[in-house]
Amino acid sequence: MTFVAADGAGPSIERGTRRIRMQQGVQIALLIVLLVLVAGPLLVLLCTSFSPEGKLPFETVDFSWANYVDLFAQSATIGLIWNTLKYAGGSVVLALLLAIGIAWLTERTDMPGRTVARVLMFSWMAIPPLVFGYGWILLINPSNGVINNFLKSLLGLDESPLTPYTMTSLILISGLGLTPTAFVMLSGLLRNMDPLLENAGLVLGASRRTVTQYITLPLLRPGILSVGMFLVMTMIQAFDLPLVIGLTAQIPVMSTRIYTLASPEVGGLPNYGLAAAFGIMLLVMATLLMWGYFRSIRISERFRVVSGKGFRPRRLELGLWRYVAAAAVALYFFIMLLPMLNLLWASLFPFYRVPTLAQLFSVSLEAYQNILEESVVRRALVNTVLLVLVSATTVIVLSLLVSWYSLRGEGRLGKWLDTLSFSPIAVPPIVMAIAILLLYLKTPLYASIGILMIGHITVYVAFGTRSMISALVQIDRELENAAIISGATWLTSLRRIIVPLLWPHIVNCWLWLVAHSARDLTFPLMLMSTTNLVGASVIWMVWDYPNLPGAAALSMLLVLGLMVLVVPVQIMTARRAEREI
Amino acid sequence: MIAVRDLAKSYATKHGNAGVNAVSGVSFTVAKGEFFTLLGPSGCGKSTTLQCIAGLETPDSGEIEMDGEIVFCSRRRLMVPANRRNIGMTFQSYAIWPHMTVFDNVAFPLVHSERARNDIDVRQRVMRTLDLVKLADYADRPSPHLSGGQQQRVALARALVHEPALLLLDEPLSNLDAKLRDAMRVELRQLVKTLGITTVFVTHDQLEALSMSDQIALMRAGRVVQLGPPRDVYLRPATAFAADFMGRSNLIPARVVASGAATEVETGFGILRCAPSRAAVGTQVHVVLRPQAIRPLPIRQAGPNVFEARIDALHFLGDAFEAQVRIGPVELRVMLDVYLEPGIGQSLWLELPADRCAVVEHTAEDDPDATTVAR
Ligand SMILES: Nc1ncnc2c1ncn2[C@@H]1O[C@H](COP(=O)(O)OP(=O)(O)OP(=O)(O)O)[C@@H](O)[C@H]1O
Ligand SMILES: [Mg+2]
Repeated sequence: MTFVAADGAGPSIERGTRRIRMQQGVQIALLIVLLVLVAGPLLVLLCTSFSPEGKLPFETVDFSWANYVDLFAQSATIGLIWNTLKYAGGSVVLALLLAIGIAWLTERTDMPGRTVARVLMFSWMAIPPLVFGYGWILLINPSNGVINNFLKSLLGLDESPLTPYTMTSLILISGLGLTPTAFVMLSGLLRNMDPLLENAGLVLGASRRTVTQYITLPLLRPGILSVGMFLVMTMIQAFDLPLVIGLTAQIPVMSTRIYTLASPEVGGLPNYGLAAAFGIMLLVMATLLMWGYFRSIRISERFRVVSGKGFRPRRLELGLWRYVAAAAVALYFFIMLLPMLNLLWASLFPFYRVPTLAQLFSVSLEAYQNILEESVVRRALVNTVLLVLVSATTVIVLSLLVSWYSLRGEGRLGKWLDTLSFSPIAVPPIVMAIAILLLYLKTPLYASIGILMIGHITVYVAFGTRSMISALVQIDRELENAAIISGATWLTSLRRIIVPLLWPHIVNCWLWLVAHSARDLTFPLMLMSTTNLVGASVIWMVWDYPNLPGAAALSMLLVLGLMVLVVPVQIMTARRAEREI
Repeated sequence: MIAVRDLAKSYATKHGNAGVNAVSGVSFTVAKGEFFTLLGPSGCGKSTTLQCIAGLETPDSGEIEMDGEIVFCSRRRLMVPANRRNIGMTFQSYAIWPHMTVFDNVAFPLVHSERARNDIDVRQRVMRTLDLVKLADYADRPSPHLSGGQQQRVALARALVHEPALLLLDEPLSNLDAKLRDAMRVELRQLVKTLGITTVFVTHDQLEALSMSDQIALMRAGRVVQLGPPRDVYLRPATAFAADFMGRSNLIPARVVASGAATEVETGFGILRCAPSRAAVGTQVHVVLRPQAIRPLPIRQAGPNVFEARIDALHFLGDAFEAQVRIGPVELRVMLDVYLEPGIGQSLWLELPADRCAVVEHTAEDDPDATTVAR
């Protein structure tokens, strides 16, 4: 029920209703913004997929199944789906195995260097998958890959034994790159598991192996399962690595297929209708997985083994084995850092030279200088800063408001806002990108950096709201009421009470958004024009040009920029965590 | 000062539309400068009523008048929001903002209020208020490092600093330890009485209500079941629930045999004369009798309302014995002088003074265990 000032009511009542009007006004504005952001593109996507071949959105009102007929008539479609599933499944299994192993070592044993390992894992979000992929190409490409050269001279081979351009290599590289994400999701699970449950088993005379088999693993299974589902979902949407490796290897997956349909090679015409139909299909797959994911979360909630306050996890003493464990983890990081080192090397010479010790003395920053002299590149750097700042900040503001309404608001509108802001979680970025492209194709916004901002805001607002809601529920409502009673307006109470209280969380969330917005290639590439290049897309362009040292130098700059933001925060967080245990 | 008329508020439950009636049909008035208490068991709707008065919740129906001005009226769809009602309030959790110092917490209503005036000296006003609650030395302390009692004082200072017309206190003492609570009870009442500020106080502790209030509204399941000065509510409970809630009492099941000025009831141990009552002859009632109202007699004395009892059990409380006695089939609790050295199994004569025997009607909503004797 809404109340308005009655006729003849005193002036204080007139003014008094302002708070309510303000609150409701903002809520309605928010609803409209989210509807345009989220529902608009998807609607256009759906329409386009049902329009006759060769037609652009808004050009026709005709309805046709042609695109879908096309989609299912192509024998390649089945192969495409199979590729996508194989790619996603393979890389997730690898990432889960590695992550479980390392997380168990860092969280449950006395392995030396576990804090360093944790910080490295958490900081990995500063490395864009695109850059990681380029590093691997430098390492194992058949013509002059460093590892190939090394193996050839070591084993006396004529042919290069390794190549990045196979499904296996693609899966291995993606799996390695996915491991830190899996680690981040699993380490909390392992850390919070009450060791008493395990110890109880040991006390009852079971062997360590039996305990692992019958207690530890069953307890963890639901959690691991839901993390696995989530990762599969992200991997069927993954775009960067399938693009830089998969396209050359001629292993198309759904995401890259949508891209090639929408942005064909020079001379070809984009087939938006078919791309839209593929988008809808991918959306359906992602939604199904999402549904499964939430079901599995609900199941794992039942198995929750988080114990209350004051519990100190006892770490397993590994004895001498702990050095073996540390060496194994170090080996993993060595493998992870190799491609980055190779890129660094490549960025230190104006022309790419295969790494040797003798070259070490002729390093220079010439490649950096050259590439930064390009006006396109300079513009892209400015664009990047604009893009990440605007999208991260806007997402924070939107999420804060949405989470306030969904927790504190009266009536159903708040819940709608919540659902609306959360729904993009099931929409793969590549699908959202093509949908946004279709919606804004004919508008001036299309070629601007603004469209990238819109894209990032849309896909990240789901993460933002989830994260804000989880923080806001911990703030007692009475803290806010006390401000209102003191005479503050709604906005003042948000500004003076809620925001300061949430500040550490806001900073963390903002950093995550900045890192992910900066490393994303999907939107910059799908919506690329000469005027809206950003860091990720310009790296891709320069690499393709081909200007290898330039791309390497830009990659290093992007990674460095992100590290400066991410690493200090992660170190601080890790310190705090160590102190608490 | 305030008048609440027919206030109702229900919350929608998650499943289905039938909501919880947190408050239904509550009416009362509070005079200027009065200390008014909403008393009742947990979940009876005290906080909800208070929040409606504050303007933090929108009632479903009813009317609230404050200082002659209607601040809420469902019929006219009128609602003055909380930040315009010029009230001070403390919360059950104190709601001290942890990111501010004590000074900033207290200064907030002066600085960030819509009503804030520029012509007042904030520093002086805050320090004066902190002085009032004896926290002047703590002004620059960060607020998370305060003890419970100190937090409670900060909350009070924050509620008083802008000199509101009305003070709302939601269980301000319930989180304090027993000793501090006793001290604060006296202090709090003295403070608001010196300031002459109208106060609505919420508590579930009948001792607090009795010792602090000018008026008590006893609530149950969203309704006011009795309203009056503490002595009246204590001595003349209107229902078995009121009798039971206000303190230990003997509830004796009985049937009315004579009504009016000379009310008489028939109990398990015979005819009992009671205080005047309007209960009709033949109705089932309860006789409420406080343990300390029963007068033990040193020798057998003939007279009405005198019965012989046997001691079943004794609890030594220090200043008295609480004895569990039996008159015929009925169990009663009685306070006995510690110097008399009573013994278990001993018999004694008790007078149940007629003017102290209150007759309350047996209502359907009285839970079964409330009808058991002597709780
Ligand atoms: N926001 C809410 N949503 C749903 N139900 C509510 C809400 N707030 C209160 N209630 C319900 O309304 C009833 C009255 O609650 P209220 O907080 O007024 O009780 P109270 O008398 O203050 O109790 P306490 O002494 O425990 O604070 C309770 O049954 C409670 O569960
Ligand atoms: Mg309450």
